[in-house]
Amino acid sequence: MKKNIILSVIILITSLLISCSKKEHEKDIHMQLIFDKKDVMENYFAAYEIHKEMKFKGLEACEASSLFEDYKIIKNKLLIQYFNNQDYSNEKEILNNLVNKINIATDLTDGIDNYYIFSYNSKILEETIKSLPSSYYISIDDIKIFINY
Amino acid sequence: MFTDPDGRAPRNMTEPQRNLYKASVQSQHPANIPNKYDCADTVIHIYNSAMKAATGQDNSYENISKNGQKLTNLQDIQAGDMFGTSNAKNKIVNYYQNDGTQSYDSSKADRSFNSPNIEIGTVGIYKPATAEDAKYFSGHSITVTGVTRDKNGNVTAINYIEGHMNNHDQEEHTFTINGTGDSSLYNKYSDCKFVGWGEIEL
Repeated sequence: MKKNIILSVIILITSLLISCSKKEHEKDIHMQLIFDKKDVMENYFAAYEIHKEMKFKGLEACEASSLFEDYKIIKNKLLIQYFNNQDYSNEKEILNNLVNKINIATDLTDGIDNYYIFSYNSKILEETIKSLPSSYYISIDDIKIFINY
Repeated sequence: MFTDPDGRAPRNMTEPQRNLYKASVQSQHPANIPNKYDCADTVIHIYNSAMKAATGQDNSYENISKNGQKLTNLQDIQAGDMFGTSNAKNKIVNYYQNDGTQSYDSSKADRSFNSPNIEIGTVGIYKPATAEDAKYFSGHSITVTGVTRDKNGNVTAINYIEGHMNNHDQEEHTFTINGTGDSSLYNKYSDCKFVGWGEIEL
Protein backbone atom coordinates (compact mmCIF):
# COMPACT_ATOMS: atom_id res chain seq x y z
CA MET A 1 0.00 0.00 0.00
CA LYS A 2 2.78 2.38 0.97
CA LYS A 3 4.62 1.44 -2.19
CA ASN A 4 1.54 2.27 -4.27
CA ILE A 5 1.21 5.66 -2.63
CA ILE A 6 4.87 6.45 -3.33
CA LEU A 7 4.42 5.35 -6.97
CA SER A 8 1.31 7.52 -7.34
CA VAL A 9 3.18 10.53 -5.94
CA ILE A 10 6.07 9.94 -8.35
CA ILE A 11 3.65 9.69 -11.30
CA LEU A 12 1.89 12.86 -10.19
CA ILE A 13 5.13 14.80 -9.85
CA THR A 14 6.37 13.50 -13.22
CA SER A 15 3.08 14.54 -14.85
CA LEU A 16 3.32 17.96 -13.28
CA LEU A 17 6.89 18.36 -14.46
CA ILE A 18 5.98 17.29 -18.00
CA SER A 19 3.03 19.66 -17.97
CA CYS A 20 5.14 22.55 -16.70
CA SER A 21 7.86 21.77 -19.20
CA LYS A 22 5.29 21.71 -22.01
CA LYS A 23 3.82 25.03 -20.90
CA GLU A 24 7.31 26.50 -20.66
CA HIS A 25 8.03 25.25 -24.19
CA GLU A 26 4.80 26.74 -25.52
CA LYS A 27 5.65 29.97 -23.79
CA ASP A 28 9.08 29.92 -25.42
CA ILE A 29 7.55 29.46 -28.87
CA HIS A 30 5.07 32.24 -28.16
CA MET A 31 7.83 34.56 -26.99
CA GLN A 32 9.94 33.62 -29.97
CA LEU A 33 7.09 34.52 -32.33
CA ILE A 34 6.51 37.87 -30.68
CA PHE A 35 10.22 38.56 -30.72
CA ASP A 36 10.48 37.61 -34.37
CA LYS A 37 7.50 39.75 -35.32
CA LYS A 38 9.11 42.74 -33.68
CA ASP A 39 12.31 42.09 -35.61
CA VAL A 40 10.41 41.65 -38.85
CA MET A 41 8.61 44.93 -38.20
CA GLU A 42 11.88 46.78 -37.67
CA ASN A 43 13.32 45.29 -40.83
CA TYR A 44 10.13 46.07 -42.70
CA PHE A 45 10.43 49.76 -41.82
CA ALA A 46 14.01 49.76 -43.13
CA ALA A 47 12.85 48.03 -46.33
CA TYR A 48 9.96 50.48 -46.71
CA GLU A 49 12.34 53.44 -46.44
CA ILE A 50 14.41 51.98 -49.26
CA HIS A 51 11.52 51.18 -51.58
CA LYS A 52 8.75 53.63 -50.67
CA GLU A 53 9.63 55.84 -53.64
CA MET A 54 9.49 52.97 -56.11
CA LYS A 55 7.99 54.25 -59.34
CA PHE A 56 7.07 52.74 -62.69
CA LYS A 57 7.03 54.63 -65.96
CA GLY A 58 4.46 52.11 -67.20
CA LEU A 59 2.04 53.16 -64.46
CA GLU A 60 2.53 56.79 -65.45
CA ALA A 61 1.67 55.85 -69.04
CA CYS A 62 -1.53 54.18 -67.80
CA GLU A 63 -2.38 57.17 -65.57
CA ALA A 64 -2.20 54.87 -62.57
CA SER A 65 0.85 56.27 -60.79
CA SER A 66 -1.24 58.18 -58.21
CA LEU A 67 -3.24 54.99 -57.48
CA PHE A 68 0.04 53.18 -56.90
CA GLU A 69 1.26 55.94 -54.57
CA ASP A 70 -1.99 55.53 -52.58
CA TYR A 71 -1.48 51.77 -52.61
CA LYS A 72 1.98 52.08 -51.05
CA ILE A 73 0.69 54.35 -48.28
CA ILE A 74 -2.28 52.13 -47.38
CA LYS A 75 -0.16 48.97 -47.61
CA ASN A 76 2.24 50.53 -45.14
CA LYS A 77 -0.65 51.33 -42.79
CA LEU A 78 -1.98 47.77 -43.07
CA LEU A 79 1.40 46.29 -42.18
CA ILE A 80 1.79 48.61 -39.19
CA GLN A 81 -1.69 47.62 -37.96
CA TYR A 82 -0.81 43.96 -38.44
CA PHE A 83 2.51 44.15 -36.64
CA ASN A 84 0.86 46.01 -33.78
CA ASN A 85 -1.82 43.31 -33.56
CA GLN A 86 -4.53 45.78 -34.52
CA ASP A 87 -7.49 45.36 -36.84
CA TYR A 88 -6.47 46.00 -40.46
CA SER A 89 -9.74 45.09 -42.19
CA ASN A 90 -10.40 48.68 -43.23
CA GLU A 91 -6.99 48.96 -44.91
CA LYS A 92 -7.51 45.56 -46.50
CA GLU A 93 -10.75 46.74 -48.10
CA ILE A 94 -9.22 50.00 -49.35
CA LEU A 95 -6.26 48.08 -50.75
CA ASN A 96 -8.45 45.62 -52.59
CA ASN A 97 -10.31 48.52 -54.22
CA LEU A 98 -7.03 50.19 -55.19
CA VAL A 99 -5.68 46.94 -56.64
CA ASN A 100 -8.83 46.56 -58.73
CA LYS A 101 -8.47 50.11 -60.05
CA ILE A 102 -4.78 49.55 -60.85
CA ASN A 103 -5.63 46.30 -62.62
CA ILE A 104 -8.25 48.04 -64.74
CA ALA A 105 -5.95 50.99 -65.55
CA THR A 106 -3.01 48.76 -66.48
CA ASP A 107 -5.12 46.09 -68.14
CA LEU A 108 -3.10 43.47 -66.29
CA THR A 109 -4.17 40.36 -64.43
CA ASP A 110 -5.72 40.69 -61.03
CA GLY A 111 -4.42 40.63 -57.48
CA ILE A 112 -0.76 40.14 -56.70
CA ASP A 113 -0.16 38.94 -60.25
CA ASN A 114 -0.18 42.56 -61.30
CA TYR A 115 3.44 43.13 -62.32
CA TYR A 116 3.76 46.47 -60.54
CA ILE A 117 2.16 45.39 -57.26
CA PHE A 118 4.04 42.10 -57.29
CA SER A 119 7.37 43.85 -57.95
CA TYR A 120 6.83 46.29 -55.10
CA ASN A 121 5.76 43.67 -52.56
CA SER A 122 8.52 41.27 -53.61
CA LYS A 123 11.18 43.93 -53.16
CA ILE A 124 9.87 44.89 -49.72
CA LEU A 125 9.64 41.25 -48.62
CA GLU A 126 13.06 40.39 -50.05
CA GLU A 127 14.66 43.37 -48.32
CA THR A 128 12.90 42.59 -45.03
CA ILE A 129 14.07 38.97 -45.01
CA LYS A 130 17.55 39.78 -46.30
CA SER A 131 18.29 41.89 -43.26
CA LEU A 132 16.91 39.39 -40.72
CA PRO A 133 19.54 37.47 -38.72
CA SER A 134 19.92 34.00 -40.23
CA SER A 135 18.88 32.29 -36.97
CA TYR A 136 15.47 33.98 -37.11
CA TYR A 137 12.57 33.08 -39.30
CA ILE A 138 9.64 34.91 -40.79
CA SER A 139 6.26 33.32 -40.15
CA ILE A 140 3.95 32.23 -42.96
CA ASP A 141 1.38 34.71 -41.63
CA ASP A 142 3.87 37.53 -42.05
CA ILE A 143 4.67 36.46 -45.60
CA LYS A 144 0.97 36.25 -46.44
CA ILE A 145 0.35 39.73 -45.13
CA PHE A 146 3.24 41.04 -47.22
CA ILE A 147 2.10 39.61 -50.52
CA ASN A 148 -1.64 38.98 -50.30
CA TYR A 149 -2.88 42.56 -50.70
CA MET B 1 33.96 77.77 -81.03
CA PHE B 2 34.50 77.35 -77.32
CA THR B 3 35.24 74.01 -75.72
CA ASP B 4 35.38 73.71 -71.98
CA PRO B 5 39.02 73.48 -70.82
CA ASP B 6 38.07 70.44 -68.76
CA GLY B 7 36.36 68.85 -71.73
CA ARG B 8 32.82 68.94 -70.37
CA ALA B 9 29.73 69.74 -72.36
CA PRO B 10 30.98 71.46 -75.49
CA ARG B 11 27.93 73.06 -77.07
CA ASN B 12 29.64 74.76 -80.00
CA MET B 13 29.20 78.16 -78.44
CA THR B 14 31.40 81.02 -77.32
CA GLU B 15 32.18 81.00 -73.62
CA PRO B 16 29.81 83.91 -72.80
CA GLN B 17 27.02 82.19 -74.76
CA ARG B 18 27.69 78.96 -72.99
CA ASN B 19 27.47 80.65 -69.62
CA LEU B 20 24.15 82.19 -70.64
CA TYR B 21 22.96 78.75 -71.71
CA LYS B 22 23.83 77.26 -68.33
CA ALA B 23 22.35 80.23 -66.44
CA SER B 24 19.09 79.73 -68.31
CA VAL B 25 18.95 76.02 -67.49
CA GLN B 26 19.80 76.70 -63.86
CA SER B 27 16.99 79.23 -63.58
CA GLN B 28 14.34 76.81 -64.85
CA HIS B 29 11.58 75.97 -62.42
CA PRO B 30 9.00 73.19 -62.81
CA ALA B 31 6.12 75.59 -62.19
CA ASN B 32 7.13 77.66 -65.22
CA ILE B 33 7.07 74.75 -67.67
CA PRO B 34 3.73 73.82 -69.26
CA ASN B 35 2.55 70.57 -67.70
CA LYS B 36 1.31 69.40 -71.08
CA TYR B 37 5.00 68.73 -71.81
CA ASP B 38 6.10 65.15 -71.14
CA CYS B 39 9.68 64.24 -70.28
CA ALA B 40 11.14 64.64 -73.77
CA ASP B 41 9.17 67.84 -74.45
CA THR B 42 10.48 69.23 -71.16
CA VAL B 43 14.09 68.47 -72.13
CA ILE B 44 13.60 70.18 -75.49
CA HIS B 45 11.73 73.11 -73.90
CA ILE B 46 14.65 73.72 -71.52
CA TYR B 47 17.12 73.43 -74.42
CA ASN B 48 14.97 75.79 -76.51
CA SER B 49 14.83 78.42 -73.75
CA ALA B 50 18.57 78.14 -73.07
CA MET B 51 19.40 78.56 -76.76
CA LYS B 52 17.21 81.65 -76.86
CA ALA B 53 19.02 83.06 -73.81
CA ALA B 54 22.45 82.19 -75.21
CA THR B 55 22.13 83.10 -78.89
CA GLY B 56 18.83 84.94 -79.25
CA GLN B 57 17.68 82.23 -81.63
CA ASP B 58 13.96 81.38 -81.46
CA ASN B 59 12.56 77.89 -81.90
CA SER B 60 15.86 76.01 -81.75
CA TYR B 61 13.83 72.82 -81.54
CA GLU B 62 13.37 73.21 -85.30
CA ASN B 63 17.05 72.22 -85.61
CA ILE B 64 16.06 68.74 -84.48
CA SER B 65 15.44 66.13 -87.13
CA LYS B 66 13.31 63.10 -86.56
CA ASN B 67 13.17 60.39 -89.19
CA GLY B 68 14.60 62.75 -91.79
CA GLN B 69 12.14 65.56 -91.10
CA LYS B 70 12.76 68.76 -89.14
CA LEU B 71 10.52 69.17 -86.08
CA THR B 72 7.68 71.62 -86.59
CA ASN B 73 6.16 71.02 -83.19
CA LEU B 74 8.22 70.89 -79.99
CA GLN B 75 6.07 68.09 -78.68
CA ASP B 76 6.67 65.77 -81.64
CA ILE B 77 9.50 64.01 -79.84
CA GLN B 78 9.73 61.16 -77.37
CA ALA B 79 12.49 59.82 -75.16
CA GLY B 80 12.65 56.82 -77.49
CA ASP B 81 13.98 59.14 -80.23
CA MET B 82 17.02 59.94 -78.11
CA PHE B 83 18.82 56.63 -77.70
CA GLY B 84 19.69 53.51 -79.66
CA THR B 85 19.31 53.35 -83.43
CA SER B 86 16.82 56.24 -83.43
CA ASN B 87 19.35 58.60 -81.86
CA ALA B 88 22.15 57.34 -84.08
CA LYS B 89 19.96 58.32 -87.03
CA ASN B 90 18.38 61.48 -85.60
CA LYS B 91 21.59 62.74 -83.90
CA ILE B 92 19.73 64.49 -81.07
CA VAL B 93 21.75 63.55 -77.97
CA ASN B 94 25.53 63.53 -78.29
CA TYR B 95 26.53 61.01 -75.62
CA TYR B 96 29.66 61.05 -73.54
CA GLN B 97 31.50 57.80 -74.11
CA ASN B 98 33.49 55.80 -71.60
CA ASP B 99 36.71 56.70 -73.42
CA GLY B 100 36.05 60.42 -72.94
CA THR B 101 34.95 61.16 -76.51
CA GLN B 102 31.40 62.00 -77.61
CA SER B 103 29.23 60.24 -80.16
CA TYR B 104 25.60 59.60 -81.03
CA ASP B 105 26.06 55.93 -80.14
CA SER B 106 24.29 55.39 -76.80
CA SER B 107 25.44 51.79 -76.33
CA LYS B 108 28.68 52.66 -74.53
CA ALA B 109 27.58 55.95 -73.02
CA ASP B 110 28.92 57.23 -69.71
CA ARG B 111 26.45 56.04 -67.09
CA SER B 112 28.37 56.89 -63.96
CA PHE B 113 27.03 58.97 -61.12
CA ASN B 114 30.49 60.35 -60.40
CA SER B 115 31.08 61.54 -63.93
CA PRO B 116 33.38 64.41 -64.87
CA ASN B 117 31.10 65.01 -67.86
CA ILE B 118 27.97 66.09 -66.02
CA GLU B 119 27.16 69.75 -65.68
CA ILE B 120 24.23 72.12 -65.92
CA GLY B 121 22.39 71.41 -69.16
CA THR B 122 23.54 67.79 -69.49
CA VAL B 123 20.69 65.42 -70.26
CA GLY B 124 20.19 61.91 -68.87
CA ILE B 125 18.30 59.32 -70.91
CA TYR B 126 16.51 56.14 -69.78
CA LYS B 127 15.14 53.24 -71.80
CA PRO B 128 12.42 50.70 -70.91
CA ALA B 129 13.93 47.81 -68.93
CA THR B 130 12.26 45.09 -70.98
CA ALA B 131 10.45 44.64 -74.29
CA GLU B 132 7.23 44.28 -72.29
CA ASP B 133 7.85 47.64 -70.59
CA ALA B 134 8.49 49.20 -74.02
CA LYS B 135 4.85 48.52 -74.91
CA TYR B 136 3.79 51.16 -72.40
CA PHE B 137 6.40 53.92 -72.84
CA SER B 138 9.41 54.72 -75.01
CA GLY B 139 11.83 55.89 -72.30
CA HIS B 140 12.51 58.78 -70.00
CA SER B 141 14.66 61.89 -70.10
CA ILE B 142 15.85 64.49 -67.59
CA THR B 143 17.86 67.73 -67.64
CA VAL B 144 20.59 68.44 -65.11
CA THR B 145 20.06 71.81 -63.42
CA GLY B 146 22.90 71.60 -60.90
CA VAL B 147 25.87 69.47 -59.90
CA THR B 148 27.62 69.46 -56.53
CA ARG B 149 31.19 68.19 -56.30
CA ASP B 150 33.41 67.77 -53.25
CA LYS B 151 36.90 69.23 -52.90
CA ASN B 152 38.31 66.29 -54.86
CA GLY B 153 35.93 66.87 -57.73
CA ASN B 154 33.77 63.86 -56.94
CA VAL B 155 30.06 64.30 -57.62
CA THR B 156 28.00 64.34 -54.44
CA ALA B 157 24.61 65.45 -55.81
CA ILE B 158 22.88 66.01 -59.15
CA ASN B 159 19.79 68.22 -59.41
CA TYR B 160 17.46 67.66 -62.32
CA ILE B 161 14.08 68.60 -63.77
CA GLU B 162 11.80 66.04 -65.38
CA GLY B 163 8.46 66.11 -67.11
CA HIS B 164 5.81 63.41 -67.05
CA MET B 165 3.16 61.98 -69.29
CA ASN B 166 -0.55 62.75 -69.02
CA ASN B 167 -0.31 66.40 -67.98
CA HIS B 168 1.42 65.72 -64.68
CA ASP B 169 3.40 68.61 -63.28
CA GLN B 170 7.13 68.83 -63.88
CA GLU B 171 9.27 67.96 -60.87
CA GLU B 172 12.72 68.86 -59.61
CA HIS B 173 14.68 66.23 -57.70
CA THR B 174 18.20 65.46 -56.54
CA PHE B 175 20.20 62.31 -57.11
CA THR B 176 22.47 61.49 -54.20
CA ILE B 177 25.33 59.00 -53.88
CA ASN B 178 23.33 56.44 -51.94
CA GLY B 179 19.91 57.65 -53.01
CA THR B 180 16.81 55.55 -53.39
CA GLY B 181 13.64 56.09 -55.39
CA ASP B 182 13.51 59.60 -56.83
CA SER B 183 17.01 60.23 -55.54
CA SER B 184 18.52 57.19 -57.23
CA LEU B 185 20.09 57.63 -60.66
CA TYR B 186 19.85 53.93 -61.47
CA ASN B 187 16.50 53.11 -59.86
CA LYS B 188 14.62 56.26 -60.69
CA TYR B 189 11.96 54.03 -62.26
CA SER B 190 11.86 50.31 -61.57
CA ASP B 191 10.97 49.58 -65.19
CA CYS B 192 13.67 51.81 -66.74
CA LYS B 193 17.41 51.44 -67.27
CA PHE B 194 19.76 54.38 -67.38
CA VAL B 195 21.27 54.81 -70.86
CA GLY B 196 23.73 57.59 -70.10
CA TRP B 197 24.69 61.26 -70.12
CA GLY B 198 24.85 63.50 -73.16
CA GLU B 199 24.24 66.92 -74.60
CA ILE B 200 21.82 68.33 -77.11
CA GLU B 201 24.15 70.06 -79.55
CA LEU B 202 22.28 71.43 -82.50
